[in-house]
Amino acid sequence: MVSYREAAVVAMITENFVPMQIDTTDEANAPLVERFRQIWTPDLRILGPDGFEYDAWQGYWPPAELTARLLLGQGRALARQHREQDAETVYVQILRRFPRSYAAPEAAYWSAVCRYKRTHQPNDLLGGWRRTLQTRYPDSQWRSAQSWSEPPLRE
Amino acid sequence: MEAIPWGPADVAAACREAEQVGKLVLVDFFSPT
Repeated sequence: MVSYREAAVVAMITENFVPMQIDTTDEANAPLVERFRQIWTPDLRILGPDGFEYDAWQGYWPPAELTARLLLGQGRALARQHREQDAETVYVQILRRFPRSYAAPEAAYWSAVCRYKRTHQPNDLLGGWRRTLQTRYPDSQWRSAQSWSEPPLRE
Repeated sequence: MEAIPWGPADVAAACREAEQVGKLVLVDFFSPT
């Protein structure tokens, strides 16, 4: 993938991941293709040290989008490991560095969730969503995912 | 120019290394073109 030539992508991967490649056309790798139910390339997975798959996505991503997407995967893994503060730091980094990326609305959603899980303050959740999703990403899927918290629209 | 230090198609080895260095594993399924 040409995005792998970009310095920011190289740095992101080198600093945060143990990277490995699987050539899907090599018969020797057929068991791995089967194990991961892999059907299309490019196909990226993020695994924990125990082999658990935290994230997966497919298709070509331009460099900035790929860097943001890798951060999102890192945040997802940290959050699911109950490392809420670390995850929040990663999500906030996405919002600061890549506010227009595809990953940003999801980062906004989960940064508020992670903060709330640490503080148990409802305003950290609802206020966080209001400050980010409702104002910056009003048309996103993730705004919809928190829309139960908004007052009903008047007709 | 720096390049990504891709490891071989060995998930167990990558997971062991990830455990040792406190990182996650990134797996790239690709087809050469």
